[in-house]
Amino acid sequence: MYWKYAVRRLIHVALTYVVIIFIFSALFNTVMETTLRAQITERVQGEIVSRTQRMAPEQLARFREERTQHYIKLYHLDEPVALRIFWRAVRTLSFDFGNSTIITSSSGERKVSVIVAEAIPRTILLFTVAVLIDIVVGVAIGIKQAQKPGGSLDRATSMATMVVYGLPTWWLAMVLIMLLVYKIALFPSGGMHSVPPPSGFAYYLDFLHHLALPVLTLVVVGFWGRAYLTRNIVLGTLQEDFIMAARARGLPESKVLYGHTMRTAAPPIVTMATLSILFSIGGGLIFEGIFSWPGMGRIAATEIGAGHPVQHTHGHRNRRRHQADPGGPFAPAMAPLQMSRPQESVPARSRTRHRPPPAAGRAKKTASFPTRTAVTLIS
Amino acid sequence: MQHPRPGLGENITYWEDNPKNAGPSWVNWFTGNRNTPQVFLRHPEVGEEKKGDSQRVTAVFRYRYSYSAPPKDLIYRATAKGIMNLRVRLLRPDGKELGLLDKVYVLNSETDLRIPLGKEAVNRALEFAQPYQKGALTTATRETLRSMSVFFAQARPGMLQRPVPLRGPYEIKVTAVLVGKDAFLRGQQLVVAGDVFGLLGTDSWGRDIWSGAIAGVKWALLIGLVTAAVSVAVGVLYGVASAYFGGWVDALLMRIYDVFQSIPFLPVLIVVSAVFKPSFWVLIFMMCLFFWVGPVRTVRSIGLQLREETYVEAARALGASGRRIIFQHMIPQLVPYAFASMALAVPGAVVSEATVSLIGLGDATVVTWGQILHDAMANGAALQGMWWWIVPPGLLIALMGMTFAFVGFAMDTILNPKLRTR
Repeated sequence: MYWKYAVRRLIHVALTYVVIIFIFSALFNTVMETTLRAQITERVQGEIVSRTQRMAPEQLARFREERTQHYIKLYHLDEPVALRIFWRAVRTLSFDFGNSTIITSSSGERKVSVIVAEAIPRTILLFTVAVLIDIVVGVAIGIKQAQKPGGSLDRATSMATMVVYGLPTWWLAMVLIMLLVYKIALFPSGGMHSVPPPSGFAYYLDFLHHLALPVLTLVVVGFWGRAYLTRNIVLGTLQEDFIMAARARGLPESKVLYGHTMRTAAPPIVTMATLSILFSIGGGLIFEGIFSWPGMGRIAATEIGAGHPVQHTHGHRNRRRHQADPGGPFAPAMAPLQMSRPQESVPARSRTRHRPPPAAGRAKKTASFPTRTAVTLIS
Repeated sequence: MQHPRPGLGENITYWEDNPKNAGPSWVNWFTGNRNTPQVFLRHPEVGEEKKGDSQRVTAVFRYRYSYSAPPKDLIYRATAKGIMNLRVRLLRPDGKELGLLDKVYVLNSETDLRIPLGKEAVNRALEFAQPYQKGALTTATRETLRSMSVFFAQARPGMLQRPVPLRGPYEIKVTAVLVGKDAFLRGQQLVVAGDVFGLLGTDSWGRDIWSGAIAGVKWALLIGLVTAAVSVAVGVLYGVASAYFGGWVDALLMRIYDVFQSIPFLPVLIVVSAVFKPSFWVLIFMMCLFFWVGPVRTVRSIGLQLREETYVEAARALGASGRRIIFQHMIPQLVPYAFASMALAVPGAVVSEATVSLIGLGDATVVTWGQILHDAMANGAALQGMWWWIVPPGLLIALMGMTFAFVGFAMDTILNPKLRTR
């Protein structure tokens, strides 16, 4: 009765999903409420400053009242909290993701579903490609390791696994950017294309050039762990009695390995691989930030944090702006990440000479307008 | 060899004299002693003479200069009180002597003096260089003159335009005449402000990165060990309880587990930190809240096997309570596994803390490796090629991860005899 089990699992998964959406909805509503109100006051104040010359005091007061009400309505702050939590969750569950106030898709659309549909392929291109490479390399090395446990390859690879075990991927990314972008100008510093993107076949070459360093980083950190796990699974199977029996029958070693061992060892390896392919779609908040990769992680980061539109051009002006005006809890976060992103048109050599102005220390944390999308994007 | 000033306190003046964005001193090994390293001369030869109300304090600092680029400055520091005439003279290896400072200080209370001699002696440097100059000095030369490049250059024509370093022993002689009953001058030291600093250089504020990296060890250990211990302990208890009680309890516990398993850690933390002031303990608490799910599945499956063991059945037949069976009979079987997963959970916690700090949501009051990397990113260290700011903290994170991975994997091999290679 496998199908009964499958149906039960599916119901469980759906239930879990609903609960998580509600938790997120509650988290965002309660947490963001105060900061949201403060932001509204601030924004209205900003609108008023430009009008003080032209308007009479009572007119100004009315204008302030109007605008505040407008924003309170816009962000549904006039409804009871429980209701807001509930409806936000319901809307999310019914795949009505609403519109983003701060991100637009490349065609200028504000619908969250469009923005996400645009970001997912980019993330897949980066992370899923990296995961696929690291599955191929990892499993191949893992099997080789298990064939000669304690051999030099096994010892070297196991050692490397432990060395990279606590290595933060984003740190390796930083170091590789410093080394292979600024010191030796091998790769572009980030983004998906040069600005402006070349046309024709060169467009794809340019894209691959931009893709190379992030994928390389992910693979270098990723495949050791997979190799080690594969090794452990295969090694465990190789010591089973039926393998001894197969060898005793005089079967060739390749037959023993691929015909008998891998048949038993494959399911957990395949499960692991499938899971990591699935998880790769979520992208990486930090990693995409470091490489300016406009995928899922980046929009999540922007939505949670920033109160300014996403700008992928990363000119010098943007950088100052980030320092002077941290837009949200994540803005001080993304600002330092974008520091390493000078204009694409500046040749790498002269970049190293450029010293950016010292940042104003730790940026103050002010939360900004969270939109409905924030809930959906990260859940 | 003189060592850089050790110690990292709460005192922010600690890095006041340090050069900013300076590389490590040992870079000189590869560049042929190009840059002057930062040196703190703290033990001058001090002489004192007392005559009635006035006293004469002398100090001689010896410094051997053997680099190509001159020091950035000579900073004289002391603690003094009373009316004091302070004279500083520089004796060069070529026998030439020049005064750097001759000033009267009136100090009514105990004062910490910090005198940048280079700035004080600009005119003196011009006078010194004048005889080796053809014609009058242009205004541009006057204004861009760095007195140190004159003091540490060979006295010969063109020394302003193309200074050749004069290597050898220098002496800085300080003579102070103090007037006043309780006047004193003590704690004299001379800072040779250099271009390279200590073991790992400095950051954009002049903070010593080696000190920061070492201070980070204790925080990383604390975060890693506490988080790993708490979350693994909770996870093991949770898994065992789920396995032992079974039925609807198991089903409920596993659903709760599923929820926690599926919530992404980082976005929640970002949202939460918008409200809570990011503090060290809040961060540890949040990590425990999300990391306890790690061992649950494995522990539950082991627990399901243990539950059916005959000794558990016997204990139950004897009327042992559920608590007794769990703690006396099941948990001891799981202790080795728990320790292995604790060891393997430490690097995860350290990396998480670093990640959270990197994006600026960590506790800014403690010096963690993540904080150092955050500052490095915020100041464009990668762009400026300041590897000494980026590489060491990350290497230490990796090193700590490696250490615990060795322990964890070794335990894993012991627990799982099939993985033995001999």
